[in-house]
Amino acid sequence: MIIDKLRRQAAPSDVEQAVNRREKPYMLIIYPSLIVTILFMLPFLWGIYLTFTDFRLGAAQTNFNWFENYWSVMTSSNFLRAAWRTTQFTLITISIELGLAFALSIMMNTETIMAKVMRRIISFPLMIAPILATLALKLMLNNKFGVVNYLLSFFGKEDFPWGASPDTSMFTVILVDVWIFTPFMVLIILAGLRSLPKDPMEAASVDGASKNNILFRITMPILMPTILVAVIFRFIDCIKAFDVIWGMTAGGPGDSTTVFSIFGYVLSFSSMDIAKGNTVLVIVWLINMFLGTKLIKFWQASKDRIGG
Amino acid sequence: MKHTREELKIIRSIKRSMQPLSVGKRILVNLGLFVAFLFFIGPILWIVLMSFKTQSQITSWPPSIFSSFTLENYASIFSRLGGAAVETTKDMLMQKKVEKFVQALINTAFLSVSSVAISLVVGVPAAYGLSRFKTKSKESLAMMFMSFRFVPELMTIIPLYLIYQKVGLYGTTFGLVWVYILISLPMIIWISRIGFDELPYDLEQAALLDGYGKAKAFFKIVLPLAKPGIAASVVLSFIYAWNNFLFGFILSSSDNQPVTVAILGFYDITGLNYGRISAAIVLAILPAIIVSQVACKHLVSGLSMGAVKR
Repeated sequence: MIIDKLRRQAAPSDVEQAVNRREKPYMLIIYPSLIVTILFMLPFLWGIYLTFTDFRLGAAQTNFNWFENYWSVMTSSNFLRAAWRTTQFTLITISIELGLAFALSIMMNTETIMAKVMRRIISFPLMIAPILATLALKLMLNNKFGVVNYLLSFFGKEDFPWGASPDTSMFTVILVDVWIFTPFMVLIILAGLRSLPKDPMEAASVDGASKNNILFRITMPILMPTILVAVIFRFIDCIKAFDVIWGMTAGGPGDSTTVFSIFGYVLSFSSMDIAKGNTVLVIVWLINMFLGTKLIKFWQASKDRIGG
Repeated sequence: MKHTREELKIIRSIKRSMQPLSVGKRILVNLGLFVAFLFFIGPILWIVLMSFKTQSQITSWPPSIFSSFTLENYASIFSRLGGAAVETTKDMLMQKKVEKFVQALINTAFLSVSSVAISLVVGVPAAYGLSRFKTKSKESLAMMFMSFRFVPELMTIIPLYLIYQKVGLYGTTFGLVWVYILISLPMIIWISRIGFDELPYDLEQAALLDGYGKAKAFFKIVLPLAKPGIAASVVLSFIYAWNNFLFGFILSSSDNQPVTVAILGFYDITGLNYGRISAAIVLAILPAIIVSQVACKHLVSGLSMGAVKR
């Protein structure tokens, strides 16, 4: 009996053989792959096909258009303005969120009372549906009875129009996004801070390095991959942002907050020009792919620099 | 016991590195975090507060914190405006929206639970397969999932909108559940798979040596130990599904809509009752917050219970 067991152990495990035989695992992956393919890939590919036509809802027939949609979209001033809005939104939002999150993470890495409290509840804004958070904040940013405006009245700014004026709408929308998603960055950066190895820092301080030096030359590079993960996620999400902006201003007074996704939506459902709307979205996808993969390469390089 | 000089030096330096911050620094940190608390958590508290006020108190200026406490907002949501006379069309519209809201809560619950359940049944075995499947192309799989994120949701929703209309699934719960599965399935597979990766292959080998079949080994040995990972994926995808806006916005009918869309509807009427909206928002965000808090505690205990001696 024992000999049988030993013999089995010595021979290449038939379990491993079965796995490598690609039977069962292959089968298990088939169903979800099918679902994802049907629900996602097919509409996705059809959507791309539509951008090469002049498809309109309720039109008699659809003609193949080649790149006419792309050309007319990319040369339209509306598109360029949407591009500018999206760039504004993305860059400013990420800078603010990164700075805030970094400062907060450092403070929350201590053992003070507030740090312990905040560690528990910092994720709350994130648990709320972005659209609901936006609508809730909208109630408070109202210039007739909003509590925030009341607080501002102490500074004489009680009629700050927030989302109602084209001058302040972009600022408002950025503020809302910062409120919702800074905790996201905090969670990631805080996790990174807490898993930092102590040895390099200690070795450096024993060797006589100043605190600033340690921070910038040792802590930062080790943290860089973590920071980049947070930035990459947010970057991609900001470029295709829809919920927050739609809830707050639906594109803003005029088009002051019309970013790419909202532009695509408006083209598809207000102007009924689905082909053009989808064209905008395909362009967003391509931008995301291009910049996203560049950022990911950057991230991999930063990982390699600290030894993976 | 007596320490040598060397030992004393080491002990002292360890103690120094474990020193709490100086008083001044602690005050600064506490202050800064308190401001952060006001900024991030303040609005949530304010909305909860507003849900317990009457309309007149909310619109009064300056807004007060503790003017009075009333449950009428919540009561009206659950009891169809009770005895209040429905005089103007504004009131009638409001009442309709309120009735729709409770329906929307049920809808969202149904959508989230069913899509996550189906994704579990289909996805966990797939995650297991992915985890045990020896293949060289694992990195490219990861990249593929990442690339799904690049796509703006609207880009798949619009064609789905057209397809659904043709197929007759537009505005149906069945159609909505399918789309919600699209959100939860990848997440469940991805995170459960990480949970499975943590478990060494020795487990199944030991079970098989003891005479278990492959399926039995999976269900009786691997699955219980993978519970933390699977639980994490369930929590995350449930919250994601609950909070989803875009799918319901475009693909649902007014009977089907999730709360995220229903509350947006509240804002279309002028002169609306802000107290009631606040109450509705509180009810809409409660499940996600409860699930996340409860799950956190469970996850922590689950992780320590599932430890495998390596």
